[in-house]
Amino acid sequence: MHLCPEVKGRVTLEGKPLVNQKIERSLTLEDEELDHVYTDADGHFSFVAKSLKSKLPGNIFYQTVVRIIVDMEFEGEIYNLWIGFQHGLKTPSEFKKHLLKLNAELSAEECKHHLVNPKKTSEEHYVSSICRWN
Amino acid sequence: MAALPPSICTELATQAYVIKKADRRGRFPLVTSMTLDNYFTFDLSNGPIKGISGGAVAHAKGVQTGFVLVGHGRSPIGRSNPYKNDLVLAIRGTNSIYDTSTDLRANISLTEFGARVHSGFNSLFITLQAELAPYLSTVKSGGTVHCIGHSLGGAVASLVADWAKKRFNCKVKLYTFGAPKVGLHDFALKTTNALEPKNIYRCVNGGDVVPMVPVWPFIHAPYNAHEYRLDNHKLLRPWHHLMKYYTENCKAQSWDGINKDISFNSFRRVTLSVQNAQQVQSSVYWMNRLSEALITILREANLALLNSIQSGVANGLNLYDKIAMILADKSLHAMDISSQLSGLLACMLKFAGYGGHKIKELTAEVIRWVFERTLNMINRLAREALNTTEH
Repeated sequence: MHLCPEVKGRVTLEGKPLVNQKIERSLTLEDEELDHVYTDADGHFSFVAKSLKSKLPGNIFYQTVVRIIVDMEFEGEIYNLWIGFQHGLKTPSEFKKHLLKLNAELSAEECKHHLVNPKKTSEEHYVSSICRWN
Repeated sequence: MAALPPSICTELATQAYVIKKADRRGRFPLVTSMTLDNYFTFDLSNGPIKGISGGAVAHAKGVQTGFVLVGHGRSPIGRSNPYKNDLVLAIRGTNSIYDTSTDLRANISLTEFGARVHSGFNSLFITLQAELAPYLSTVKSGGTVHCIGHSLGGAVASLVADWAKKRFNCKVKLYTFGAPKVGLHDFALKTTNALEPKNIYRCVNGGDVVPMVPVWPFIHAPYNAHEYRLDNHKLLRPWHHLMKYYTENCKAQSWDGINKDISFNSFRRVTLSVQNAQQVQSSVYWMNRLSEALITILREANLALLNSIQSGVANGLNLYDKIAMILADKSLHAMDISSQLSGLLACMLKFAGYGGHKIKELTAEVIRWVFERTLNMINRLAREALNTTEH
């Protein structure tokens, strides 16, 4: 099953790229799985997609919830680039789209984003993030 | 006291699943919809209410996980919120290895008010009580406590609702999705009277078998009264127990837009003939008819036995063995029930997948065998939907 699609993004502070900044990803189905990367000279970072071979969710009756968090610590503060929940075995298409453009400006407020699949409007999600998608 | 809209209830029942464990930073992140935000705030700085679910092993290990999401009515400035004095308690269902052993062991335990309930649900409820009490004792005057849950969470929500009403004298509304039966007749009747049927929103999908277990004499609240039937599916679809099917089926703006139906009534007279067996299907409808037909036979053959079963005096693992013995003994019957009984057993066999079998004699052994096959079938279907970690 999918735990997390590919993630790509960039971190800036007052418009300037944050270099060599640790970005952390936390994926929780039953146990929290962690990995991290560092931003490059232009503030870019990326995570490869992650899947799981678990016996648990192989059964369709399992009430699957995957918590997907991408965050970072900077000068003692935690900044959330993504807090979202995948209900079910498949990554929502809107998660895939938005996680490829995780462009964070640290001076921006964290806020709630309402993501709706344009092809299937009943598929809606709320995520919390300092990123903006325009 | 205003009821929460159906879509808010399904969101709360879903959100209850995300608060199971903290992340490495000790946070319990929650992202709610704007609609839910307008009504309630959720303070998770101290985490959710935790509990221990499952058998002796989980209790011995003290494996605590988040079970109840607590929300407080928001007091908006310049806008009215019908729920501003209210409290929501959203309780999650089975979601781990430790949880599944709670499901089908139909052992009985007593609530603090002396009613007979399923011991698995009750033991989880007891681990939540101490943390729940401060919230319930400080509900604002005029406020309502909304108890919400899916699956096992719905069963526990029923116990919480009963307790909040009786111990704390709160105004209570209960909303459950695909919840199993919580207790015997005495619990169902007492909690129905305490909460009032209009405050119980028991929602079922037509294909979901979980609300059918444990089998009679377990019985739902509201007692012999309506449930909210969210779809028109007739045949069992075990996966329709999943919360997402409840969410999809519960998009109505108000409860008036959802069908209400009395699917089971222990006073409904149902007699079945051998010919009826041809029509029997693996469905919730037929499970209810089989139970009602059995109750009908017991009422007409031996009312004292029926009363003792329903009041929980006669129970235990061999309850159905006891019923079989008494049904086979003609000297204990007030009237001849043999044709009704043959009809019921033929229908049960068809339900259990033994349609080809013919019953020759109504001996205790034969009756017991038919009951066993029928109960096995129901439990197998329910396990398919509930017992999520075996595969």
